[in-house]
Amino acid sequence: MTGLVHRALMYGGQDDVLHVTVPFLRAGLETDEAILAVLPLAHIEALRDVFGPDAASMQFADATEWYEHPVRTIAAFDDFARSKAPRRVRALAEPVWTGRSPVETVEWHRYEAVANIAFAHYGAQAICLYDRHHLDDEVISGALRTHPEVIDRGGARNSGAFVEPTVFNIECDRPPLPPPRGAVESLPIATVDDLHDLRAFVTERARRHGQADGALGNLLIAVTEVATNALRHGAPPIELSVWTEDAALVCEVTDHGHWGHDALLGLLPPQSAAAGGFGLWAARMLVDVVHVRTGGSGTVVRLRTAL
Amino acid sequence: MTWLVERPVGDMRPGDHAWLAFASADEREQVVGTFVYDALKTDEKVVYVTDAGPGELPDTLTRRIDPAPFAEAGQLRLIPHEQACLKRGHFAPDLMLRTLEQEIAVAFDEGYRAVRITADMSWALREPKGSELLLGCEGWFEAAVSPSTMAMAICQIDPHRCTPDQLTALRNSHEVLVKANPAFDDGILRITRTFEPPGLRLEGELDGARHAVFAETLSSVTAVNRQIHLDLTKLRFIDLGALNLLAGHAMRMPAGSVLILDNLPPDVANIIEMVGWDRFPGLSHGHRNGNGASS
Repeated sequence: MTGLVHRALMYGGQDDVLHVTVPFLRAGLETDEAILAVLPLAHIEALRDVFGPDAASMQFADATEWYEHPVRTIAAFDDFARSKAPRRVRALAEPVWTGRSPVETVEWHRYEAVANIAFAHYGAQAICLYDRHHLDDEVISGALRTHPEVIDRGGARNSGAFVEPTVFNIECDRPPLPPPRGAVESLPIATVDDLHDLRAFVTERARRHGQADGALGNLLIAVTEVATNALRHGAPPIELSVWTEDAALVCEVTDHGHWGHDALLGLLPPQSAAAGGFGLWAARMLVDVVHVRTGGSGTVVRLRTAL
Repeated sequence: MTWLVERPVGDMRPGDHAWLAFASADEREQVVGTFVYDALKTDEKVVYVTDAGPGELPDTLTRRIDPAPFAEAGQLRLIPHEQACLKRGHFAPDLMLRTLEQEIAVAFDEGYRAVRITADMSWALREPKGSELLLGCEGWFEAAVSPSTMAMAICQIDPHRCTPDQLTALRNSHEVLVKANPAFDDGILRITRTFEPPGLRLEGELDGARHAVFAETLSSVTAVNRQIHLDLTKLRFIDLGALNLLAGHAMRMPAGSVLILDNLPPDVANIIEMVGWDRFPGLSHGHRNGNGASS
């Protein structure tokens, strides 16, 4: 297929937004493409006013509800594209950057990079909106690295700073993980027969810290998956560590093997639950964030869930 | 309705007068085949009222052991209906009872530590007053077996050949409801074959330590049935590897086959919904019954 046409629009005001996006959407209506606009409510209202009755054939979503969890957001866009296939998709998207921690900001930039690969096979076109007057410079420069093209009133052109998504992803994982800030409790894992005890160990600590049952159930599935991966693909000794920091429960599985995994493993929605990479993707869906560091000295997978 | 003790066939013990209303030939084979096999391999005697020869006994038995030498040696006693319980071609409960009491006595004299008795009595229901006669026979037989320290019995009935009232009355003249043995049970995960509907019941926790046995059991069931039900009421944990395995299995099944997940615990339902049912082609969401947790 043609790949994702993925452009960033660094807008100054809403008139910039309308000037670029209205012709983009109108062209999509003419060719009967499926249209999804995930935007702040003010932009949605403005577009509805412009398109009048035609807006009924477009799908709008509030960006603040849509951009809560990068892996789930990719999955939601993927669900939309799958449900509309074989129609092509045209999307407007304005990710939320305000109120994000530095760690979260990295994950949202990673999301933008991964989108290039995740949606390559749909023949889709997307314009991502960036408010250049209100966003930090590093958010804007990050967007130039994750979008092959930028677009403005003058048209589309090469972003000039685009980085291959797989390379960008590796760069996201370059800084070492910070050491635990809470008291760490550990459990060695030798065989798959220890997975039952591992869940009991995590359950006891999660309950002690007031983890809600639903989130705990999800965490147990994710941590079992990561430990199973370490047993299957890693090398002993394997250890689980659990601690709390910043109102989050952290579970970390370390082993002394090198996964040598595909750089985007578990970031792309799988075609089916039978596909390779399903487990790590689902684990990423189930907890707030999964960080993987793999190299010569071993592999660390850290799962965070809010308490 | 009387309360019956449910017991896997492998846990039956002397004094058990058990009831098997088999949902399918498969269930009958699993239960009766195991009942006979366990006796032959542990030097217990079997008394089987049947017109079948040793080679025509349930497959689950004959696949594991050749019954012919046991029949020859007398450890496996196959008694034709004519001889066991027919007078002038009709069902005679008193003869049946006398036959079985005599067989128990003989087995005792022969020095067997236990004797296992079984018969499929469905045919007797078609006799004039068959239901009453059979009920009377069951009552006497219950009185003969339950105090025994060496006899145990399975009465087989094809539920499709009797009315609901007949079935209830007969069932209530037994104390034990016999089921197939779990296909697997290690204290953490139990997998049990189900026959109505055909499928598996999973209880406990399923993770990477038990994928192989799960895959193997699933294959054995899907090889013979098109619609498989997995009853997950008591499944406390399922890992992503098992879901991956299920999805792969469902995709490889022949066209028209389907795996139905019944009584999904809320946690499991949430995971599948998060992943999306469309990522599980061949899997479908079945019914919930009253004993499942509410969502």
